[in-house]
Amino acid sequence: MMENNRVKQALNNTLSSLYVNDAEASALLAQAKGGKKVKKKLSVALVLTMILMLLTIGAVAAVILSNKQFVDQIVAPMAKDNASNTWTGDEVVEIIRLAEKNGIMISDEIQNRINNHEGRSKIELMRSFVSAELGPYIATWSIEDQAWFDELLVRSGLSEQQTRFTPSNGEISEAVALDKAKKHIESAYKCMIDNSTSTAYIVHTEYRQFVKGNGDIEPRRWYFHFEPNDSSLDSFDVVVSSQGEIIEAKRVVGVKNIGDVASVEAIFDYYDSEYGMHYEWSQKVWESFQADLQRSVDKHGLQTNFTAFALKQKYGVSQTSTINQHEAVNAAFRATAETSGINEEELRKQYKSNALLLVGKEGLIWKVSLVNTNPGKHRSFDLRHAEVNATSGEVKNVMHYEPGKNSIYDAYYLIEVLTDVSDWPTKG
Amino acid sequence: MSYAVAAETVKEQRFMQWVKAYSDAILRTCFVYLSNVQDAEDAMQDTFLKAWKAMDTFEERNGASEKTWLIKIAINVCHDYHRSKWFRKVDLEKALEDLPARYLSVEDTDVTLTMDVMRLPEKLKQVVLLYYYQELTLREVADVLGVVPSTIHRRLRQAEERLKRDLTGGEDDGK
Repeated sequence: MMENNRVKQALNNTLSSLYVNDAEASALLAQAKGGKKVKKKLSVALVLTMILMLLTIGAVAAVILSNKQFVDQIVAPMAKDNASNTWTGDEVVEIIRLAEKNGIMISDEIQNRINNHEGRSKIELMRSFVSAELGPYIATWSIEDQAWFDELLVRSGLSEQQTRFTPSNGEISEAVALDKAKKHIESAYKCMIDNSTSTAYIVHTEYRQFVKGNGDIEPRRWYFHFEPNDSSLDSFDVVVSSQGEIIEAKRVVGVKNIGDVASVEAIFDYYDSEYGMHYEWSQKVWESFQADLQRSVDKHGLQTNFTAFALKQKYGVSQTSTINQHEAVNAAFRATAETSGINEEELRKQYKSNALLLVGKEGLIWKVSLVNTNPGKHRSFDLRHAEVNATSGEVKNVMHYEPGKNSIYDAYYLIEVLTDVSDWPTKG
Repeated sequence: MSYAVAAETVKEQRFMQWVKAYSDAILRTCFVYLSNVQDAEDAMQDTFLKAWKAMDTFEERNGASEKTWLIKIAINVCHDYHRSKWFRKVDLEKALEDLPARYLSVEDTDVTLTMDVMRLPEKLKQVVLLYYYQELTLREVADVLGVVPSTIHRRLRQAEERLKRDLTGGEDDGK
């Protein structure tokens, strides 16, 4: 290396005041172990500027902002600047710049929201920043933080009415309300949720006062949701009045007992949340779904047409039709290519196919869904659909979901698909 | 002391050695790269955060040193920061004014050269920082930036021409 490294010499001389002292070095270790950045140290010039600003406005406050403070003091006033419920692109850029300037880390969740354009909602972006500090679910924040956020939305013109509060004089405390809710679960459902097993359940707590559509204000109530960490366990919802009476309680049966449930929709919802959209279920999942439906029927009787219908549905290669799943998917691709004008080969590269064999009024029908795996920057999803008569091979209802023009659910959501058979006989 | 606790202690000690040895240079590199004190401090913090998370997977292989590894992380962090801040108008004089007061006693020629480096296009600034300031070899610079050494050599020549300074030893890789 050269003897006379002018660059190194010049940079070190010029930047000699820029160094990491022992305290900051220790802070680096602490933050690394904690997994998040600490607030930045402030340069002399910046500190002087801030002190001058603070003196000017007569305020004495901390200059290092937490996420909550950032939202409260910087983002919320920006939100109030105009009546829109969404941010402009420039506003989002400015918020990110200010966040970084204040030492606030842009979490993956916030980044994803912005990338997916979800962050354009003023409320959602504000909540994302707060969630990075307080946790993802507002009902697991302290009730003080919930009340603050709700009040902030009202103050920012993003909400008309505050609905989350802290108890006033004469209203029972959170601890008392929680105790009453747990005791009710114990007596009504024979399930213990005591403090020693608190890790088994995440308790979502809200103290809310809703306004009815006619303007009437409902009394304040405690809303508890006991979410099991183990999804096989039951979950519970309990509503307690401000004076301690149990207003309402509900048990949502866990998977271990799902087949004992009378509500077919509850069974469907469970599978939907566990395994995704029905057209993505494997044959094993589909058969398990049907087995749980059958258990429900055996125990509670056949209560809906949907159950009868769903129990009849076959999966995968049809044993009875002349068109198997592979042929049905091919037919759907061909028809979609003809209709859309897109080259079939290109379609096959871009779209993933799923098919479900349903028993419709016209006999066995393959419902084929084509899902674009890379819908592009400005679309959250891109779906196409076709129905193939499993007996004749005729292709019908070739459609492309277009926001605002048709409903995605018409074609793809099983319960909606099955509404067209509501007049089917319950038995047989 | 359990094995896990002992391992954690060793990890912390090693991390602190890295911080002591390289944090100043990384902080200054980030400052020259980003032309902003706050961004530089953030980038330096991010660099060590990422280094901590990846420490367990770090192995000295093929002669790659921990310094090179850390500098590579820092350059990538700065590159991301730089990319996300393209819209910001950079005021170099303001950036230097934001430095703590010791800057006032620095020779004008040093300040001028520092500002000249800060004004360089990103790709040229990278090679100057890595080769001259961090004193990495051409091969190490090439590894950090993911390009072949001849490209680094060419960029160094371009940077030297731009700086219009008498940099000695620019083609010499023998450190």
